[in-house]
Amino acid sequence: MAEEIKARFRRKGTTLTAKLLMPHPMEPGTRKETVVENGAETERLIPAHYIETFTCKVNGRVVLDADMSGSVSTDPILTFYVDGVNAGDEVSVEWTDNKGETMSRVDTIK
Amino acid sequence: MSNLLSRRRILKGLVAATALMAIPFKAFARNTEAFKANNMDAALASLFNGAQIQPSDRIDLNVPEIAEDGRVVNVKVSTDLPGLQTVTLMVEANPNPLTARFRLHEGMQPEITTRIKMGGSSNVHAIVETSEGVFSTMKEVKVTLGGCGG
Amino acid sequence: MRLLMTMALCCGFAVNVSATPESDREALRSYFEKRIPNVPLEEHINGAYALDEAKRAQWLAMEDFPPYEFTIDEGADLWEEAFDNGETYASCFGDSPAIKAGFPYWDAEQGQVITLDLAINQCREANGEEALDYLGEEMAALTAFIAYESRDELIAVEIPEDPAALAAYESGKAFYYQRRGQLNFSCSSCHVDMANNMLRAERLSAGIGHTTHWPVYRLKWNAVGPLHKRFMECNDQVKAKSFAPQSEEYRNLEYFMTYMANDLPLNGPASRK
Repeated sequence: MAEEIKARFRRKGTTLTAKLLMPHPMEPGTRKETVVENGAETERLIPAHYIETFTCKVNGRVVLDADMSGSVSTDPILTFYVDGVNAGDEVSVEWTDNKGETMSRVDTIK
Repeated sequence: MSNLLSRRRILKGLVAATALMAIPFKAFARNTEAFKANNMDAALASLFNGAQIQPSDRIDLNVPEIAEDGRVVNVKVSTDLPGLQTVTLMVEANPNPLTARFRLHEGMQPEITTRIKMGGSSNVHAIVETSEGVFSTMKEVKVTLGGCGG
Repeated sequence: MRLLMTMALCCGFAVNVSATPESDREALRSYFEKRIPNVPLEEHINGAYALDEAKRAQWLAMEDFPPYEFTIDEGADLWEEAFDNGETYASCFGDSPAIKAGFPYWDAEQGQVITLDLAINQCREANGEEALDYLGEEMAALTAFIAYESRDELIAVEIPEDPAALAAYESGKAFYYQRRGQLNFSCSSCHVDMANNMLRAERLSAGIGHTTHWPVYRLKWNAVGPLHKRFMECNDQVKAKSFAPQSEEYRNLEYFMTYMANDLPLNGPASRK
């Protein structure tokens, strides 16, 4: 898995365009793979591993939060727009997955 | 146009729109039951507690008619219905139809884009909660088996 | 020679046996300009997306923020990372990773076509490192980074005045036009004779510029993968024997196909179905 959430923020006036690309396998837990164990091929379920919750805050206040499932595509993207954003505002984004792992990033808007 | 109206039971005298706004943030915790539901009826019931869901042509659900690959289907939802609070995406034919649920708080423009997985051709539903009630729309997305690229 | 003449009679596109690589290229370009007149030749570097509006819209949505950006970043790190002996890829290729436009090339000493992937492994082995799996993640990441850095450069494959180099080119060309497999298709059956036609639910892309955008993030693979993997899949799909990645057959094929794409801009890595 790659190391960081990719973010493209662009402020025009007080509107922020936010585009995020978040590294995550988003395994639903229903896909199978063939593995070789002791010389024999067996099929097993690939364990579920997907982002469960996502939050975006501006200056500490939640503007967007989301619940996701393994039916969201691998390496999810999100595009959204926030009004009332000024230069110097802090935008933080974070996801938490079903294994309790998290990833976040903080940006200061220009 | 959504045929949710014809398919779902519509209960009258329901959750008042203002009550939705008064519910504290922690009540919006991830609804595990709804995500586990293996049909839309159950997922909708779990999420909206029997609230009336009306079809609306004021929700723009932008999805391809024929998806190139079911693994990555671009979905954009926007609406000019006033007071948007949540956007829920469901893929009717997926084993677990509830795909994602977005809560848009103050300052958010009423638009969100993401990419979802579809196991096969299916109706994709966008259900929005607003200050004036719950509305929905749907579109059919065909997922084809490729030619030589398959 | 006679075999090629026979093939010419049954295909829509006549293979001129007294041709030079340059006249082959001119002929192929003219062919596509005539066959698909409403699409500028350069657009074919986008494959089927040059031909199908609905698919193009979906592809553009993917390219807006493509997952291969992570792969490029991994490649950038790998490019910088020193080998155990302290050298780096720059020791073999020069400081700039924008090297893709010159590949593949004919190496007279080695007597073979050198592709980028092969050159990477030769660089590794020359520096005491193990070769990378041609179908593996590390090779995908390195080549994705190099492709990204090389974007917009015009392809400039040379065929030196060397009978052996010309033979390799001709061998690749023969492979391209040779019917094979239970379905008895050649590469040209679909991508020259039937280019722009529908095959089931897909539109067949033109066989010019097919090598410009590799390695590719294939939705089907959920990952970035190499051109030779696609060659293998294409051969499998017509139920023909496939060859190993970086085999002589596929390197010669890549040599021919990339020469045909001379003067077209590199646009890799790219997202594809």
